[in-house]
Amino acid sequence: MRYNGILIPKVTATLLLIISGSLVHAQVSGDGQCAECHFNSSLLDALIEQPERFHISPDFIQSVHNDISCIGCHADPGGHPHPEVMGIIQCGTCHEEELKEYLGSPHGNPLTLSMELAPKCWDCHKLHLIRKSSNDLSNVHINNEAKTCAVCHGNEDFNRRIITLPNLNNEMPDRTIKKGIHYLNGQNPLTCSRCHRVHSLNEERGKSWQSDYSMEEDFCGECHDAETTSFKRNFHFEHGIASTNGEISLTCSDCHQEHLVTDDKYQNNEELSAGEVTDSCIECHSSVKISGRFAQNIIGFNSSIDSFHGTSNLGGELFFSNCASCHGIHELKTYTGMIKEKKKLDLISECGTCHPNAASNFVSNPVHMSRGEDLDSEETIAKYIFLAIIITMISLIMFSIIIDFYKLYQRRKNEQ
Amino acid sequence: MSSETLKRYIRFQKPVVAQHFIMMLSVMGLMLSGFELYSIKSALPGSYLDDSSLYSLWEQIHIWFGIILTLSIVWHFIYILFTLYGHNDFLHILPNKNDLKSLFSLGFKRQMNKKKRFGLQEKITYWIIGAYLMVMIITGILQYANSFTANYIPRTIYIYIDGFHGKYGLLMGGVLTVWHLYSIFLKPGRFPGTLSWWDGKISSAEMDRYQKTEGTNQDYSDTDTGNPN
Repeated sequence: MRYNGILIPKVTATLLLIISGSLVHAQVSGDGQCAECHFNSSLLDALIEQPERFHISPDFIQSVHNDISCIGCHADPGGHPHPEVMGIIQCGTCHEEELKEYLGSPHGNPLTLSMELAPKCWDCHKLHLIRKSSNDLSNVHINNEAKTCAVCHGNEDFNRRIITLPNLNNEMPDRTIKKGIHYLNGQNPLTCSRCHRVHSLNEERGKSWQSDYSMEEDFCGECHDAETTSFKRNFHFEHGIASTNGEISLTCSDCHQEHLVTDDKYQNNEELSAGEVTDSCIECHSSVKISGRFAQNIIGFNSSIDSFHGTSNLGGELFFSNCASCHGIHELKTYTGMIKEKKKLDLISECGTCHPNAASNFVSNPVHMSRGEDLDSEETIAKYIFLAIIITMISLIMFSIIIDFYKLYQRRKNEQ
Repeated sequence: MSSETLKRYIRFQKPVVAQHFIMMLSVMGLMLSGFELYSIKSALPGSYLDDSSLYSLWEQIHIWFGIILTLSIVWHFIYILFTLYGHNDFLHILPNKNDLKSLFSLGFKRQMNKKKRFGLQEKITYWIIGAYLMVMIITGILQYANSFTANYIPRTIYIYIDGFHGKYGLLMGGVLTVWHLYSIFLKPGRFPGTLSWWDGKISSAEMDRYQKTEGTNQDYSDTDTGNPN
């Protein structure tokens, strides 16, 4: 009984070991046939053209798929040697959800890119040596992701040939993102997939960064809740005001940029921020078309130059008032249509932030100096008074010169 | 050339020449920097960022020339108030009845201009340019301290302040400068001009021409000027 008590488990364990060992051997020996050629680069060189395409590195053992046999992905060749064409690898057989997202994205949508040019799974994940995204050697690891995307999107020539989206410029995401505050400051930095998603590129909800301005607010609002809530109440957002190209309303990236979200703009560097804010607003508001359509009181707006605040900007003042000083940074408060008395009180309050003595007389001065705008009656009167003075001066001088020369004529005549 | 023709007569005292010289240089600097500031401000939207440092530089130049001009005018006031020469010169340049008569007769009646140190045109030039400079200085100071002054000055007045210390003022300055230069260098009887702005003296030939043109003998003794040096 004592022997049986020990013997039976030992025998069972030995049998299980033999059975599992046989199964592993079967798989290895099956893949071993592939490995005979495909792991052997010198043999491949002798057998086929473009051997590098079919060579599999011994590092394959590190792949997340190393427990899947060759015919788990490739069609069964049925013997050796096998036909040259083995069929397209169908990752979607196992990764159904990813395939679905991919096919709905600009990368997988044949309307966007032909299948020939479209990036395939292995363009990002590599062909055989597929590592987990948490592995810092993986192409899709958070530290390497921008570089992987930049293979195509950082290639100016490629972008020009393939990507026809009007708003997609040829910037180098790898370089720009890595300069950004989201990359530098975070333990879990924002890179391409954080905004664009991994496979769907944010098309899964039937929305696109290119066409749906609310996406940015929703996305940025996941972290920047207060700013987004404030922004969504602003005049631009509520009325869906289009930007210069007429397609997208004002969004986060219109001021903060898409990929280069730096901390030296608008945040820590006051010297830059004031000018940059004004500059961003003026991109649209210097346009007669835009400002004339949506804000009739600032036609041909060019506040950076003509107003006292703008002149202070040019004069090198570091803390001069910019658009955000009165309109707010995200709420973009509008004074248009406000009751006159309330507007005056609001303005006194806003101006009082920097000018503690500001009174009603202070805020009656024009804030936005407009280029090409019709002068008001007082300015028109002043203009004509000045012109009258100048014309009178010139006339009197001309008259005195004529008199001088007449005297000269008279003198010479008398001398004769 | 005889020694008689080389004689030069004191027309202006040295402090007056120095004041005029400083004023001339500062006005030239102010007009040039003012024109540059106006040019940059008039630039098309979008091009201003490149000019921001340039604008700042011209603004500083403008301010410093303005300070120099203001100081020279303060010196001029002190000179008028506290020196005999300055006080006498000021009394001579004050307009009088004869000037009014001369103005109405357009300077054709010579006998009216008996004893005088300054001609009608010189007086007009002095007072107009003086008034222009005073207004430019005051409007410039009001603009410089705009965040303070805007509380107390109505917008209507500010329109005139901006206009005068802006393009219209610049244009007026240009017109006055041309007129002044004409009076000194090109006016019949004065051509080809004088060097009195340099050393305060005029030659005997200039003295003769001047007297012929103005039609009267000058009284040299009353201000100790005009005596042979």
